[in-house]
Amino acid sequence: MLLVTLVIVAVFGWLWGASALWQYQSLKAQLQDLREQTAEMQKSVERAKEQRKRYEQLVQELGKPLSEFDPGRLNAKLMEQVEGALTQSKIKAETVQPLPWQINSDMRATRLSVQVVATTTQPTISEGLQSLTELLMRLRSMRPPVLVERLNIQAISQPQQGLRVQAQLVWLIPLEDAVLKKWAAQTRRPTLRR
Amino acid sequence: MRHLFSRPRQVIAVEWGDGEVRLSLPARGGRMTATFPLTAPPEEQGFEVSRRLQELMKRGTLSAPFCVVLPSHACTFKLLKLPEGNGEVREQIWRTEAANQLGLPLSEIELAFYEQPEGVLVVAVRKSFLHTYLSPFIQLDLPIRWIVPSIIGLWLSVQKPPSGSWGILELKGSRERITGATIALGAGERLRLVHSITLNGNGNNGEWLVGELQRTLALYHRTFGEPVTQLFLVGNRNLLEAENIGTLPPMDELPLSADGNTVGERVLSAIAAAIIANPSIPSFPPPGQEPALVWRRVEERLVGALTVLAIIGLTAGFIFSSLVSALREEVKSEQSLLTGQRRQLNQLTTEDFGAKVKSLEQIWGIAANPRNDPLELLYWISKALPTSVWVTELAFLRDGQVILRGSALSHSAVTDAVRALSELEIDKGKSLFHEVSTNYANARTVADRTFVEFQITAWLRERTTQRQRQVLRP
Repeated sequence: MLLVTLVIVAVFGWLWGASALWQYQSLKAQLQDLREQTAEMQKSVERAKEQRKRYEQLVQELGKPLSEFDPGRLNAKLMEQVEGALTQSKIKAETVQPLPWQINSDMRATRLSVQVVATTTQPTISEGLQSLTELLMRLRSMRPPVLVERLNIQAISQPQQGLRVQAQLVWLIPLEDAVLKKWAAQTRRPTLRR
Repeated sequence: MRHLFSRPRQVIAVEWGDGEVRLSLPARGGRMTATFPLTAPPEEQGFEVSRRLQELMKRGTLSAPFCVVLPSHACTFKLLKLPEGNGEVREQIWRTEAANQLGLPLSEIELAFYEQPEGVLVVAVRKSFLHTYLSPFIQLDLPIRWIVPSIIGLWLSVQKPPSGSWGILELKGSRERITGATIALGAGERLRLVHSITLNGNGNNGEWLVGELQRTLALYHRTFGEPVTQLFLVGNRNLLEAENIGTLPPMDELPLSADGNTVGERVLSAIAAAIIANPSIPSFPPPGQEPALVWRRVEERLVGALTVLAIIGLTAGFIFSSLVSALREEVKSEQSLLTGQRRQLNQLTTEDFGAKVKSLEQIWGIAANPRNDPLELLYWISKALPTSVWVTELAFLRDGQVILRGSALSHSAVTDAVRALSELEIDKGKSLFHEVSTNYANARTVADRTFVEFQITAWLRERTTQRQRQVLRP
């Protein structure tokens, strides 16, 4: 009887031990796998966080992507900004001509541009050059920055001594995906022009 | 069979009876002997012997093989004159003949054979006696290898036997009375006749014993045709005192050059020495272990082994189960951590920051590139140009072309300007312009003053237009 009891206890003990060992090994492998997944996931989260941080930095510099795109209003705003900058820099605007806008789907942005013809109002070339520098600095510090794509500076003597400036100024404004999709669906054209 | 081919180094000889148990044990530098008196009634003496031996076992002194010495008077001896044979057939013939001549059924006796030149000396003992006698040893599972009648052991222990007919008379009994005697007779090393005499109810009757001995000696004389001239006595001589003892041949004490305090102890030591010298001494077959006892031993071992196995299994089960529950907790926490991370990642990636950042980086790359900034350009150019050069017009085009028009005091001033623009460096040795070339430099005299009008084209990036199409003088 004792022998039978012992056999049963020993068999039970070993089966229990073997089962527990198997479970232990299985759980250990699962835990290892989970840890690897967690490490990978942590890296992905870190990457995503970095991207978000970078996105926020870029948004600070370039402005938040627009969820509604109204080219007329934007063009008016650009012209207003440019005229304001010219006035602040004491440069007389002769022409501020808006140019056709474009949507660049690769850059997920719209490109608005104006052509400007202006002359400095200062009595000397040196002061005119100073005004021009101020203008360029103002354009650069706008959010989003106004880019100077073409610039022609010419010293003139008529009607008074100064600098005549011809420039093409561009605004690259980021757009939301929804806007891009909407405009792409509306026009079905690779380049959208007014 | 192993003991038949190997000479034992040590032998323990043991004998019990007549109220004593005697042992001769191997010891350092010789032998150690002991005699323990048995105080229990005769029917319980076996237990006492067993107890004594158990005590000795615990001390570890009973490790050598055992020779159990049987009292000779419990055995029956007979010299059988049989034809020579071989192997198992010969032994079968011996057994059959022994049974016939002794008049005892083979099922009740155990036999031992001792080959002599004149025949085979058969020794028989009742199995019931042997069982009782050996039971203390069997119970303790002691390694019995030899079971030898004491008279045979004594005969073999005599190293230099007389050349003529001689004999050994072994007396057994307590101090007060004799219980039995055995006489072994032979010539030289040849053992011819052994007669054991049991004094059942004839105790202290020395005269009757002497008469028996005389008859045995006469039988020997008649059978072998020569008288016994010398007898050696082993035992208490006083027990044999009788009026007609003088009719026996001269009797001396058997010289036993062996360790021991008493004759009985010396007899055991002498028999042990004889066995060491001649391991193939005739012996009753050692008893096999009783099945019940074997099963008990197996059961004991099984119980021990199973207990150990059960403990190991249960301990392992307990340890691993504890580890498993701890691991489960770890897995749970790891899973919840992973789920949290997934949720966080989903939240972070729902807005597709990767693609947005990529497009914003493109815009920022254009906006922040100093080569796209005319303000930077003006700064560098004004820094680089020599004072002998006046720029009247500057054009900054979309493809990175920069055109400078103006006047200089001399051609070398134009050359200096070109060189200065070519060597203009930004960002740790990086040239600002990829290429700088002079389109024209023409001297012109106005009001007695000569100027050199020039046009220089510089490329901020690698030029995309053909050289032939470069900007010429307007």
